[in-house]
Amino acid sequence: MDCVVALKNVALKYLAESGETPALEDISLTVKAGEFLGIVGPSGSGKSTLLSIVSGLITPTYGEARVCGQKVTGPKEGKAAYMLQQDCLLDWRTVEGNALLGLEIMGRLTPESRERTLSLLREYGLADFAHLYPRQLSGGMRQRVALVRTLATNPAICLLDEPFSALDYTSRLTLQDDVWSILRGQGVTCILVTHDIPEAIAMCDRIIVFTKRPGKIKLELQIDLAQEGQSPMAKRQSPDFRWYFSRIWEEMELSVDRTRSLS
Amino acid sequence: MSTEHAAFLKRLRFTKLCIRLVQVGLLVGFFALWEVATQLGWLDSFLVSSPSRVWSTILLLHADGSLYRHIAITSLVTMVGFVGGTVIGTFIAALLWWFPTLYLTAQPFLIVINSLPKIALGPLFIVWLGTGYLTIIAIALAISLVTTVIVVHSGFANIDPLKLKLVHSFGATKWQSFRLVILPGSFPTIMSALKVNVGLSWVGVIAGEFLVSRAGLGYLAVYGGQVLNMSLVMTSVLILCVAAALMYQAIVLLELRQRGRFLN
Repeated sequence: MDCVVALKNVALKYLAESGETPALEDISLTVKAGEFLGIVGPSGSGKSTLLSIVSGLITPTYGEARVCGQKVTGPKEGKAAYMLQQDCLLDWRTVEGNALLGLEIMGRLTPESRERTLSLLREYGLADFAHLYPRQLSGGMRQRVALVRTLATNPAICLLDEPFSALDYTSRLTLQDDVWSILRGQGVTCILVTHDIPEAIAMCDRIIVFTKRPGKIKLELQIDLAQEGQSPMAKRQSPDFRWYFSRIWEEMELSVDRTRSLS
Repeated sequence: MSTEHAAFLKRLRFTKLCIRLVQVGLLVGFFALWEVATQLGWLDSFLVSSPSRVWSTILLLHADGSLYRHIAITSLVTMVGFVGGTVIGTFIAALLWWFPTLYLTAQPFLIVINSLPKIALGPLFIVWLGTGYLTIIAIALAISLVTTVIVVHSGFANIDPLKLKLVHSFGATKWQSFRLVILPGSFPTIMSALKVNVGLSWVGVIAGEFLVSRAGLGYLAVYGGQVLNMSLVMTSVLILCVAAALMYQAIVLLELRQRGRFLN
């Protein structure tokens, strides 16, 4: 897949009765095919807004977003698929029904696409649970079903919006490894939004640090931890891990401090 | 099973049994005391009737077949009011969800209509719809409809926004997000609206029968009161208790069956 995300001078203002809030300012960035991009920044810095723009849920006030060379006009084309803070599984659908949700909505549910989804469920150890309901699964398994639902539509980009924040520490680390290897295995281009700096370093090839609201790009950092193909858990053991952490932390702290002195 | 667990279960069963026994005892005791009090002249059976008189009234009504006619008429009208109130109410709630501007426009009117005692509309319905079942159904509808609209709409509006974001990201149309997320997700809210509606429909129908009817349990009670036949009034009240409880139980069963689909 030689698909690329390209944002050009994107800015967004949220308009409300009480006034306007600039959420993003002059964001230009590209994501290469198969790349895993991380976006970190203080809360309220427009990280999630950026994903909404890439997915077409929100139209930017200025600038434009392109996915696979085409201008994003709405979520209809289905090139981007989300993985959200919560698994958002529908309680009244079985695991299989949930995994097929995206295909069903897009009207792309065919015997072939169903078989592909079922084989994804099999591949990720969920085959035995296909006819169970979400409430019968553990948190980690639920997130894996959510991941299969995301992959079932065969998206060009996967948008991960703090997908592990609702999990306990142990399942978070396990799932980071799982999700990372699954997405790498599928060769999907990913944008991960998180406020967990170690998570971003462990999972991403490149990290962009946002300033506080309105979000601007403050730092771009290529992550070169050990050799290609090492799992996030292995990367956490790497001696350079700390260096990346303090580098990003410095930037985050500075941006917090500056607003403190302003207020 | 361990001995501790066995003992625990035994205690649990014992507690449940005790509660059930006390419940039955209270019921039987109430009727026994009522009977004895009237037999011994502590209470005037002309004013409060008595279980034996109620029983003979039931037998009398059973003999000429009118008992079942009254029960059938009232139950049927209640069902119509109940189903109508729920279906129309849910439909209006869906419209208000679909068009948020419509909801904002309608909101103050909804609040006013909701706080209006609907019985006050009775005379209007009588003039418009006559002194037949239409008026009774209209009163039952008026009582349950607005509450249904408000409760179900709030259910629709309180669906997890993240779930909606998810289906939108797949490009879902408004109809798809309603059918796939909003409606099934509001199932518990709709069920609790149903339970409230059962009670409200009975209130509406009995009030309607007080005003206009020539048959039904409400009519029986009013008629009994007018001719000072308290046994007839008590009979009607007791049958109403049973009928309303049965209908409520039916809703609970429906809910359990539907929820069974969720729980597998």
